[in-house]
Amino acid sequence: MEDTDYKLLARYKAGQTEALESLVEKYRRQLFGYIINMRGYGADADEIFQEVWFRVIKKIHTYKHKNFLGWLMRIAHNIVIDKARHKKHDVSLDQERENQKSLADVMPGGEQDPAELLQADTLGQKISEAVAELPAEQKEVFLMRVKSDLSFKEIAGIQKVSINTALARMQYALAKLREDLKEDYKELNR
Amino acid sequence: MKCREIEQKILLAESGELSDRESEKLVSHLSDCRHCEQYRQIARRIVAAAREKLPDGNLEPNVMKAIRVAANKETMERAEGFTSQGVILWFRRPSIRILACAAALVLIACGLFVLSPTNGASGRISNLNAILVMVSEEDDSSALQYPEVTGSESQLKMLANQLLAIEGFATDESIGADFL
Repeated sequence: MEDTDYKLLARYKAGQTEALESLVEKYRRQLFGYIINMRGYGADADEIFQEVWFRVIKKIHTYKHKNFLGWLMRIAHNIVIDKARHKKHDVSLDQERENQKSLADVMPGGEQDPAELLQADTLGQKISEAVAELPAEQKEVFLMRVKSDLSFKEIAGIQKVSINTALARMQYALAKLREDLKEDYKELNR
Repeated sequence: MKCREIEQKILLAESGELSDRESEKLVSHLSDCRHCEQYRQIARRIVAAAREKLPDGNLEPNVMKAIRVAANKETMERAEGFTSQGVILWFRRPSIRILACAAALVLIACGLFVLSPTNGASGRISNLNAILVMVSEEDDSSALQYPEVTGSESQLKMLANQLLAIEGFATDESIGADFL
């Protein structure tokens, strides 16, 4: 574990809540990027992010691992799995459409016209769509590697599979993305 | 090495999980295998593009506020020592459990001692009675008979007077010796 994480956790346990806020901000991209790309652009991404940190706050005094980000992503994985199970049973399609934000709502550069942004960044849109269509296990391995910077060993531990299985999922994901993006290969080559 | 195995080693190398020895073998293979080198290049580009293009999302401001409130609440509860988790965790310590058991045993022992019949009035009278018997046996001039112990205060005083009399001390005349 980085010294910075260790020091921030120690300061939080000593009563300095701003230390926890520093941790939240530090891992915001890795965690929220994973959640929002796993769940799609729905409203519950904020809820899941919040729930992850609520659980961290609750369990932090029994935390003894050496890898804080790995622990954080394991909690996120468990909540995402639970949400996916519940959503299958509870949410109607109409409600789901209502909850869905458009791609423009979550793309960076909010001061520009979203339609112009989308047109300009077709590769980004294609990558997002291609990743969204991956099977859940492959998508998770890909996102944890690409957005959360986890090692394959950590990913395998979170998914409770062998490292070879995690690697195989990444291989399949890359093969699928390569196929979906083959027309954009020139742009990928830049 | 088969290309599928090479692909996995490429992925491990990109994530920094390949040993130095394996890395050297991989580099050697890639210098000779155009197919695997092409795979490595494509994989790198897809990962780089995804890292750049996939959204990081915009977090709602109230989310950070809710996390801050929860953290403050937990900190305050912990400081006051009122969190149930804190109490439970504190009580789970082996040293605390041992102390609690020892304290319970001491309390039980004290209770038994206090409630023990030998500490009651009857017990004291029995003890005094025994003393009187011993003393009278030593004093050949006395041939007292003693009634059964009833535990009353008056009997206790009578026995005390008898003991004083045997020993040659003045007695309390308000208590008669007609119990014989």
